[in-house]
Amino acid sequence: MTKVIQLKKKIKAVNDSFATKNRELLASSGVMAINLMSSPGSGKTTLIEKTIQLLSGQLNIGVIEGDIATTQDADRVLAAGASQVVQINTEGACHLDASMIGQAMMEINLNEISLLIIENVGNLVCPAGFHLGENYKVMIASLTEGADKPKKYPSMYLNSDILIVNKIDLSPHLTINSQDIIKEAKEVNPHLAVFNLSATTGEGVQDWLDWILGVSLP
Amino acid sequence: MHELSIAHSLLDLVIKNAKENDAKKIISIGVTVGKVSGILPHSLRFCFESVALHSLAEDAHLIIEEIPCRARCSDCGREYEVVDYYSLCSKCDSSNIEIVAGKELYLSQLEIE
Repeated sequence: MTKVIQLKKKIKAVNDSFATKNRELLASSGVMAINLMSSPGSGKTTLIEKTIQLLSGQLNIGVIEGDIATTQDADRVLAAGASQVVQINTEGACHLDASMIGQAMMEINLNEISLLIIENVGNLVCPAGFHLGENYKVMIASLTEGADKPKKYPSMYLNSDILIVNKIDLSPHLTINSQDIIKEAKEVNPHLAVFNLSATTGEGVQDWLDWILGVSLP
Repeated sequence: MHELSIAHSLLDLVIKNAKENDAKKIISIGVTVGKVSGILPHSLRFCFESVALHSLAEDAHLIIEEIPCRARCSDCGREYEVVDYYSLCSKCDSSNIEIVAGKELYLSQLEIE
């Protein structure tokens, strides 16, 4: 005898449930978490270094680094003054998932930090689809990547809360400017909050730091 | 994107729910896939058939229901179907729109014996 069972079970439920656990643990420890995503080479690690250096003494920042291989990024942010750093090597996986973050969080004393920055694997497609338990999804688009990327990679832009346009110091050498990228990005996601900066020179970084302090301190 | 890992997760859900309902055989599996969920139905089907081999779901018929992408304009309230992720409101040209359908990805039904 056949029976039909009606269900509505989310297929990504396993990842979502890990993400919820991560979020609850972070909240109970008073830690704000951001998931930093971008193409490889957009400047995620440089921005993290700059953020840590300029907020030294004001905010204790922990970092989870995600890369396919090497500890180069963990080494860099540790040298920049990060309170605690964990490097995840995915050994092939193209994005971080919530279970990886849950495991990494076990190596961090959350009571000693106010902000957790998760640097995702450089990838403009896959990270957008996986909640990690973060409070904000922040993506970086560097000026050198061109203004066509928002519409070519809509999922990343649609799923992000914040867009950082980086490498604005290179503007004189390029045919496009920040406004070109921002216009395209806002057509994909009008709700994006935007920061315009150069992680290398520091131009425009103060607004980003003010936002960080605003969301991380009680 | 990642249809293979989604297929694995789907199989786990199917087997778990089938066993909870004392299934001896799974006849069909209903899956709902939104147009902007990031999952391509034909890739999911291909991957699922592969991962379901030698399992209780091996001979089950996979039925995929695709949900179109719909948006609602926060300015004029109009709700309409979207072809790409982004579009201006079809009534007032506002870009202040919200996706209200099309991101679904769930196991919706099991037919068992």
